Amino acid sequence: MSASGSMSARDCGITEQSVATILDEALSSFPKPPLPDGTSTSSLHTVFAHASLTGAWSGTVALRMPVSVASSLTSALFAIPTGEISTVERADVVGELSNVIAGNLKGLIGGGTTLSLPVVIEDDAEATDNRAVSLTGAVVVDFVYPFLGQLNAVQIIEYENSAP
Amino acid sequence: MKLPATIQVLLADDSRAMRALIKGNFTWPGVSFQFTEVDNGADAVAAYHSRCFDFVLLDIHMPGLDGLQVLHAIRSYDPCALVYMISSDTSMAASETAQDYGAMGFITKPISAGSLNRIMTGLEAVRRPFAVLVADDSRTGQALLKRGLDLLAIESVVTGADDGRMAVEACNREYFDIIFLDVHMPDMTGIQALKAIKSLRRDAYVVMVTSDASMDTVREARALGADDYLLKPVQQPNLKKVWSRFRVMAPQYLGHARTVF
Repeated sequence: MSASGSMSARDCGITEQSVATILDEALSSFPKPPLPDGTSTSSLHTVFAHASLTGAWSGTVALRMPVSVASSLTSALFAIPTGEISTVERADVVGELSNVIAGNLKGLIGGGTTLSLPVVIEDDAEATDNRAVSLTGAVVVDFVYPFLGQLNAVQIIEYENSAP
Repeated sequence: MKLPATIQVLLADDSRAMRALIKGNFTWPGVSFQFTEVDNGADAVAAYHSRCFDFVLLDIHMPGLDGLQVLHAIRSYDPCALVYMISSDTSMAASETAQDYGAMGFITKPISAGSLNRIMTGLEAVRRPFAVLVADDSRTGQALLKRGLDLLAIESVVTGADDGRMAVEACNREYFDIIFLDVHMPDMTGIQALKAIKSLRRDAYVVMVTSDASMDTVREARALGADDYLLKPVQQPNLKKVWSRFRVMAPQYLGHARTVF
């Protein structure tokens, strides 16, 4: 239990390992994506998605994925060339991944928890970092998930009070 | 394709005597026919919306909505509906219009042994894909589920809906064998859509799809009549089990491939 009496992430079983397992399963449901073009400038940009949980445990799941990786996943799923993918399609894919992680965590937390709809921002890496910082709270899970030769950042941010 | 042991038939004819005659003539080895009778076109359309039938026998000349209008309405709702027109009108014009509207055939009254043989042989050759509705506010969610069905080699026509309201509208407009409803959608949630869809068609087979692994949502959906649930991310073994349960629990219609895994 946290100081405020609400459950902590660890109480709920929200750990790097449990989050990584959910992400593994979510990514394995996609068709095999092509390797992103490493020379593409899109690798400097990221798609940032977050979804919040409010209840016995309150916090946010934040996923930051390079645009090149998001484009590869989108391309494989919708069978469209990476060059023709829109930001909306990429946002849908990364938003859905954050929603799946948050929804599965809701199962670990138990009853009475509300899950928000995912929010997605596509921006350059620096701007996205600033947005991530604006999600105030304690970062309780923070790891880098390598996928398609690129680094994807996953954070779980815990709020002391129920409101994000 | 082997015919099912029981075949559900919607028989629309304004003559009670003719309906009795047709029912009496329908005998086929290894098959039992269950008839739902209506005496007018409007009731025929309403009956088809309330539940699916293996095939329809439709009189052309009926008061109110005539047979051709009913055929058009039924085929708009279910493009795979199997409809035979029946009439004493032997003119080529009536037959051609019926074929244009998608009728399986045109049978002259009274139904002879030869006509019955033609109907049953035609039905044995029918193959129809499963009509699937996938409602998810994420196109990614829709595409992943469709991919899962493709990987199971299920012959299906998948319609997507981006929210609960669109799902309800689709169900009002079209027939679906199975409906996958995401729970977490803006505007109208999957739970709200489930209620609306079940009030449209009580036997609609609805699978709730959710990333929310807490059992509260599942229990609520079950209490409202959801037939099954599937957790996201959709894993193939889980989808396989859900599909097999659907094939065992839901009514089996003529022409669908055997897909119990």
